Amino acid sequence: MNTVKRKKVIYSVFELIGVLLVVTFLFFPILWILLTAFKSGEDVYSISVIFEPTLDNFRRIFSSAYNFENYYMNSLIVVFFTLIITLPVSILAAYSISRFKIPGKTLLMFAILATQFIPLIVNVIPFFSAFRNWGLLDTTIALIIVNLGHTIPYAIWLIKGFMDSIPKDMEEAGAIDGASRLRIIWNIVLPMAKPGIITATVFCFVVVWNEFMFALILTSQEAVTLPVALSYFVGENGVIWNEMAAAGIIYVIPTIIFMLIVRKQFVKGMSAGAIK
Amino acid sequence: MENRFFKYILLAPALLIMGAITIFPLARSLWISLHEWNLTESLEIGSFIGFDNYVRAFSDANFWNSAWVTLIFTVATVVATIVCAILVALLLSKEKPYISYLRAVLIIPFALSPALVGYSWRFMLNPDYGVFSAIIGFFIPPLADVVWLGNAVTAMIALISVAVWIWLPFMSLMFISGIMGLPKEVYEAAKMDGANGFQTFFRITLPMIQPIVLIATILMTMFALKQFDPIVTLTSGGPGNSTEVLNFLVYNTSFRYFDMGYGAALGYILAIITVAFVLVYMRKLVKGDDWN
Repeated sequence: MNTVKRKKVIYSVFELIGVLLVVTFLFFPILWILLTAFKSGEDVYSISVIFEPTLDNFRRIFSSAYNFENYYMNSLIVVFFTLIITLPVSILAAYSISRFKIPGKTLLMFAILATQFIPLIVNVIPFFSAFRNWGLLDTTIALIIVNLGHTIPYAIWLIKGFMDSIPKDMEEAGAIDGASRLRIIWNIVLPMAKPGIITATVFCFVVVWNEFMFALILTSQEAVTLPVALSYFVGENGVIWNEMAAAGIIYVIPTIIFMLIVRKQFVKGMSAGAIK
Repeated sequence: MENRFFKYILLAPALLIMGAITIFPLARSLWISLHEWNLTESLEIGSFIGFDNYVRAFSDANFWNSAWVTLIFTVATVVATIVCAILVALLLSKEKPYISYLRAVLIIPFALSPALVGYSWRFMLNPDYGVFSAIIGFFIPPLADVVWLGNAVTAMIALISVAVWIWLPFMSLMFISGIMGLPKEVYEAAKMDGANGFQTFFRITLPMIQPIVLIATILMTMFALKQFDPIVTLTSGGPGNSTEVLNFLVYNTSFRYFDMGYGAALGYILAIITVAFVLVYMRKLVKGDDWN
């Protein structure tokens, strides 16, 4: 009896150590960047956790030297318009695939997903020369266009998976009452599919907000978005880490909040979509 | 009154946009890959040279270097992430209050911008003032003076750990939802029969979560082959070209040397590798349980 008890204690000690290791590995880097954002120029180069916190870094990144708010605005514009186009288009497509008999439906869904297998750098090459010819290089329009190729497939998958689980009875009742299909979608399907739509919105938000490669290639000055702008915090002696950390913290706050809101549905949606 | 074409009208905008933004550029890229075209010399696509760009790749030392680097990076990242994610999932799939809080915030690292993560790790790995270097040096004194991003092997290790850090939370959550969904009765029966923890894991848990392992492997391989942001911000392919994965080589060829034709060909080679891999695994997934 005693050995069993001891075994249990040893087991739970190991378990606790394991959990602590995981927590340290995953959250220590975030904590460190958070601390760095409040450090002064001198404290940055020491690894001490005892220092006088300052808000100077946050003040400086919004000063005229960096124009951080311009990049924030660019990111917001790109995300906003990408989502405004993505959502209605994906909702209608998801509804159609979920509710109607469409020849080659499985193949179509696979093809939509398959567009995401391809390394997107292949697509940027023709876009670069086309945008150059059209004078769209270094504009937010260019970023919105290329981002759509990313968001629409994911949104269709996530929303379609959710619509499949909504019973059709309500819609049929609506149809008997003579409401048009679009009205049924608006009044009946949309409210019921809300969790799925919110999940897709957040996921697309995070994808576009964090998108780095397109922005790096297609923008240079005017339309630069946040992830690329992070590399601008460079002074005479190399990177100004405390300012970059402050910018980074302000940059990631929206994604963290949104992701926490839809965490449950998101993982369910991703794995369910993948299993089907 | 139901219009026969209504369903296609609903579908049309999405298909049109995807056609214009994904399919058309993909075809255009293939066309470019069959031409000679350096953007610094001409704005117009150059002369048709057939598969010369592809042939060129196979005699290009940079290509073979990148192919090798990509292989090491992908295999190590996928294996490390999946193994760690299963271990984390075993730890965190318990019904205890503090663990369920932890599950709730587990997604946070995944929401962070990979570009920012790359920069942050570069800061923390700095040999003079980096906190990671200091911690590693404290626990393993012989490693105290290592310049992590200054040599090929340690730079690759750093890159792999960043990739694992980014993907571990998401993959763990996939496994957690799989493990927590398993029927409890089986475990009770195993306990009655006196099975120990290892036996329970290898005989029961692992076989039952096999489909998830397969899906996770497919997703993870795709992500690893496409990884770009943290590589640019952590190592920029260096030192030398020791961490220049294929994706980054395509970027350098096309947008630093503006050799669009050759860049497109390299991109296509990467795309073909990715699709071939996914198809092989998809077949396994569809066929089901022939995993042995």
